[in-house]
Amino acid sequence: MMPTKGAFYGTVVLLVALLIVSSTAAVVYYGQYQQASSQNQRYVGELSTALSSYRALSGSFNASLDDYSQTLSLLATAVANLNTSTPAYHDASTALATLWSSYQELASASGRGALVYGVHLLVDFGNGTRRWYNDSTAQPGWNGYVVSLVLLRGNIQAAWYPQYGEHFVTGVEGVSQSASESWFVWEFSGGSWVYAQTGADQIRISNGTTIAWTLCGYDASYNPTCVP
Amino acid sequence: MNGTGRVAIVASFTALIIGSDLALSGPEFSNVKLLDTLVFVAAYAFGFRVGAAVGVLSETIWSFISPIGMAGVIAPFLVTGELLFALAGWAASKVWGPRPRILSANSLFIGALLAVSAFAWDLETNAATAIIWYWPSLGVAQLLATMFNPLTLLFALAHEGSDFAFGTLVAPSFIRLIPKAFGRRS
Repeated sequence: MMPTKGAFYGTVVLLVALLIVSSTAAVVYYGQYQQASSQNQRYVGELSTALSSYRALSGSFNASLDDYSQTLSLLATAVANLNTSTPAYHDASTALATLWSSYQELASASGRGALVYGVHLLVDFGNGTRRWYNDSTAQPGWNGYVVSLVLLRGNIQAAWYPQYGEHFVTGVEGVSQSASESWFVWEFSGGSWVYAQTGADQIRISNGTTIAWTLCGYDASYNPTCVP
Repeated sequence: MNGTGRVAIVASFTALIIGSDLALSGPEFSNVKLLDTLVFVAAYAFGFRVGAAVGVLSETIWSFISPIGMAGVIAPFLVTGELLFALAGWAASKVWGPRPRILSANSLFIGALLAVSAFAWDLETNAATAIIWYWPSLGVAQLLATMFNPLTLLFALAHEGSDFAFGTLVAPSFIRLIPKAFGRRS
């Protein structure tokens, strides 16, 4: 049976109408696609700019960390060579510990960490009280005096002898020497404590260095009468 | 010797002193320096003025370029202290003559003289430390306590001991050889 002419036209009209509707929908969606694509391009551009900014910021942060590290090193050197009675020494010696902690936190947050030596410090007050500062850190280049100053948060009393490049320590953590007792510095070496024949300033710090301060008497040759 | 020659001697000694100071600036050589011995030798061999010039110039330079940091306000006291070695060298030349014997009793005396000069330098600079440390409220008791604190003598022992060793073993040879190097027959 052949379809009628009316049915044929009707089908054609229907198809044309469907074509118009789908084309209209296609145009609408194409417009939306273009809009979304354009937005996407803009976001990609913004992301790319943000990434560049982040990389620049990250570079600046790392450069600042390096500057921070160098500044700390310079500050430590300055503190180690300042007259200990000056206000500048007092301010810097107490600030150094805080700055060192802050630097390590920042370096840790950056994911690369700080280049540090692990150090240990013992303070023996000679009356049975011993205080350990274990698993502490020090910046490479610091000497025994700076390490002590930082770990004890500036709580060392000392006189600076520039002619010898040495500090004569008269008090540690608020406990001063007396007429019969003085503070002596030791270094743990070869499985035993070795009395430092020079001073804390001449102790070179390396990874694992262990230092002790002891308050004790001394013999006729001014050698300490105690061992940490 | 003319002025040019003296300038050359002072410059050479100063260069030698600064070079040796830098070479001995590590903690393993704490407070061990050839400076005092060379100032002594310069004064012994070429007179007080040359020795004093060497001492003042080299200590002044070292006060600024020392790897452990600038000496600061104590620098004038360190420089003045070097004149003790120049004075000792000049005085020793009057006693022992231009050619002291090497590795003899003379050598020991020269070493001892250098050690005594080093001790005097230590006392003078310790006094300066007290002045700087306690200024402006320095008292006699504080001055004496800082100057003669036995526990800080530990810092000075290496200085005095090394000066004795260099004075005994090195100074007499230098006194005999260095003037020859500068073309002076003694």
